[in-house]
Amino acid sequence: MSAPAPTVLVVEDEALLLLSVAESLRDDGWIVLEATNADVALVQLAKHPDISVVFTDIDMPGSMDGLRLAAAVRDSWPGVKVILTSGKTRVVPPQDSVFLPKPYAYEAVTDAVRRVLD
Amino acid sequence: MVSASVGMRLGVAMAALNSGMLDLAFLSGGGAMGRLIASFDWTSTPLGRIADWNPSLKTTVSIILRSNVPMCLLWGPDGVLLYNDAFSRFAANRHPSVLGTNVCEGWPEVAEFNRNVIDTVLQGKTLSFQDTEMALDLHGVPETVWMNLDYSPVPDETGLPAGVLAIVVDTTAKVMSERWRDGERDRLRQMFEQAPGFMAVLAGPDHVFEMTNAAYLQLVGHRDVIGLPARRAVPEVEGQGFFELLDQVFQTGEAFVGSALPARLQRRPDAPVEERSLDLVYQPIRNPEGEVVGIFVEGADVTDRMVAQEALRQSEAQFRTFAESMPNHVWTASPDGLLTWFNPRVYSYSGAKVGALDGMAWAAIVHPDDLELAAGRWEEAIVSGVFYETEFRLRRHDGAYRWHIARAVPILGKEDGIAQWIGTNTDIHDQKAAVQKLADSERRLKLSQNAARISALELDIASGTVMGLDGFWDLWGLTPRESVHISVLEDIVLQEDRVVRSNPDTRTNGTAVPNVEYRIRSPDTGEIRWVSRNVDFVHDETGKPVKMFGVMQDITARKSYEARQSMLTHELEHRIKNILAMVSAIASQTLRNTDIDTGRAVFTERLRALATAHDLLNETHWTDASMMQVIGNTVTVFPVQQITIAGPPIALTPKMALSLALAIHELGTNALKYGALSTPNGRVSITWHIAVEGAETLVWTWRESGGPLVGKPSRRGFGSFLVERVLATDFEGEVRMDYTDGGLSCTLTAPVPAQPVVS
Repeated sequence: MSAPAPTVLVVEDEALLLLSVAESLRDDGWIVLEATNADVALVQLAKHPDISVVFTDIDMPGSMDGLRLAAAVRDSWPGVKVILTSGKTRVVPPQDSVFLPKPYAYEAVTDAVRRVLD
Repeated sequence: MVSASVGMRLGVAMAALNSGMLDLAFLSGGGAMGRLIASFDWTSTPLGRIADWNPSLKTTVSIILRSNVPMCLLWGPDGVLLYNDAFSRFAANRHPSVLGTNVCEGWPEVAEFNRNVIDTVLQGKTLSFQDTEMALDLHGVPETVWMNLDYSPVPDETGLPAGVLAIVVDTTAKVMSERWRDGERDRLRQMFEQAPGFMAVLAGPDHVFEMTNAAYLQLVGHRDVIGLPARRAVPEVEGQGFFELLDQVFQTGEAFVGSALPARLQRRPDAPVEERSLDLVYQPIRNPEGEVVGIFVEGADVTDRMVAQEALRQSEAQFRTFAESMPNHVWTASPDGLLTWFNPRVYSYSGAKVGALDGMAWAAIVHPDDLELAAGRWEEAIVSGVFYETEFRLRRHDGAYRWHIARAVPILGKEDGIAQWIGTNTDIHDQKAAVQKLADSERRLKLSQNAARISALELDIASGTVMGLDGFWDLWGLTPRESVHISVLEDIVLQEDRVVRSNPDTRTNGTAVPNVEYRIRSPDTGEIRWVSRNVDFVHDETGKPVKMFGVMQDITARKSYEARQSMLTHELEHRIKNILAMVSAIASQTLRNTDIDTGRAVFTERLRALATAHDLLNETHWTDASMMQVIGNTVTVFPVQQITIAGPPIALTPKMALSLALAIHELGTNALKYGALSTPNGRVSITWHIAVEGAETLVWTWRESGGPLVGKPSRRGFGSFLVERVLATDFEGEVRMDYTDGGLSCTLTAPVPAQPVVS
């Protein structure tokens, strides 16, 4: 891994998943930030301009779901890549985004992060 | 008697002589007229003084005055008038001024007649007039009277006629009586002539026609038969037996009465011989000695009646034949409503014996529940004499009742009034059942349509008129009406759904989508409803759509159910995928850095803890779970007698419940291995409370005691991860682990979870 490693923001309302994915990404060498909903995620994005990738669940309670968060990221941080995940199958992910259906293997997540940054 | 009377009156006259009035003695006893004559001044008349009257005049006057028969005397060529009391009635209002006048002057209206009488009788002749009709003014008004008038000469002492004696007999009563008798004969004659039956009087053994009436002449074609013997008068009758019958009646004197005898007669002189039917009587006529002298023939031509009777008989027979062959029940009734005849169908249907239903007995086969109405209607019909109609059930021979419609019409006779009733009963059982079935089916359809909120519609494509049935108007939120223009309905459809509806083009060319669903905004309540509309086109002969028929249904409930269903499906999908993701995370963490057998056992236990929490959440449909239950259910796999649980009721979100269950599982497992639960004297106390220091805070504690001395583990495994990181994150709070002499103590400090609204 070439330094400095890019920062990944994981957004997921289920703590077990959030923390597990975050751990596995850290194990893979990434700097990882965590958010349990879109509102927290936007705060993190504003605070950490070094965030390169946002990995977010679509189905989340709160004022925004993952799709809206992705749209907000595209508008405000056009350079930040977005990876979406959802348990729902009938989701049409926005263009220029990567979609990863649940359940996923952690390797798939790390691969996706790596891929979007290539 | 007359002579005795005269003698008596002469006796009276003799008495008058004795009174010294010798000159007037002949007038005494002469009544009122005698006294008038005595006091009359005769010197101004041709008769002169009474004392100078010649004896013949005196004697005659004396006789007249003493007679009760009206008499007058016209004396001398001038006819000087003298009369008695009886005659004074004829003189009437001329009496007494006419006394002593010349009769032609005193009675000017009959002067000529009297002149002739005087002239004739004074020549010594008599005149006599029988029943002479005269107009006399007897009571102030002229009236017709009839009199016998006898005029005879009265001679003087020389023997020559000197006066006229007139004797008047009033025959008015006799004349009137004779006239009435003559009139009666004429009337009888007229009756004979005009009698509707034919009559003739035949005289003698050859039966010579003496009299015939108009009807007889009509019978024989107006031939002149009077004076002719029967065999010559009506020769065409020869050989038919009538002459022989006449001969027999004449010889035996016994009357003959015949009825409807066939006779061949000529109705006109040159007409062909016709067949006639005659009723007739030959009645012998006897003279005072009892001998038969003639025959009175009386009878009637009954040909027309016979023809009518025959026609009636044939018509009856035709009716019976027709009625008996009819599949319906046919019956007849008398004008008073009693049934008189039934066709064989009635008997075969009911099994009744022929005649057993006559009169009122038909009621026996009518269903008891229908009888009152039927009998009432029948009575009304009989009274009013108009059409009868009713429906009733009639018992069949096997006991089954079938509905019939009974109808009857009155048949009018030749005279005013009803001759009889003819009625029919028609089996309408199957139709009635079908009608009932249809009504039931319609009712069920309507009920089910109402229940399903289905209504029918019909659209006339050319005019755009929509007619709706039943709940149509309710569905559209419109007041019920006959019809509406389609534009009214189009305006009610939500703007964004109008595209799916039919429009004038798709209706006219028949391409409108047959089954569509769209939303409407009810004009009365503003409520939005989902409706489905299914239509079929009806085409004219050229194939052009003219009408749309269809049904509309309020599918709002279905739509909302579908929406909820869809939401639930997505929710479920999301939940399952999340669970799988959690299981996947647990598996990968559990199986990391361990041997497969150990890992499998631990993984199974963790899954069980997760499943226990799921069971709890399923009970509440994943809305919330109670803290107490989550803990209680999770610790059942541990020695529960060593564990105490205490705290106020607090509801947890599903995420918190799962997280807490997994954390307790990890804490319990750790305690069982290394801590308080590894020894029988160890205790675990799980408590929680709401601390009010600034913001309300949930303080939850797992505290172990009495167990072996434990130290902080050297390596943080997945168990600690679940307790310290995951639990804290899901509760958005902090978790602290303390290791003291008494054992492990784990404290969660977090905001109080939002509590669901208790309904």
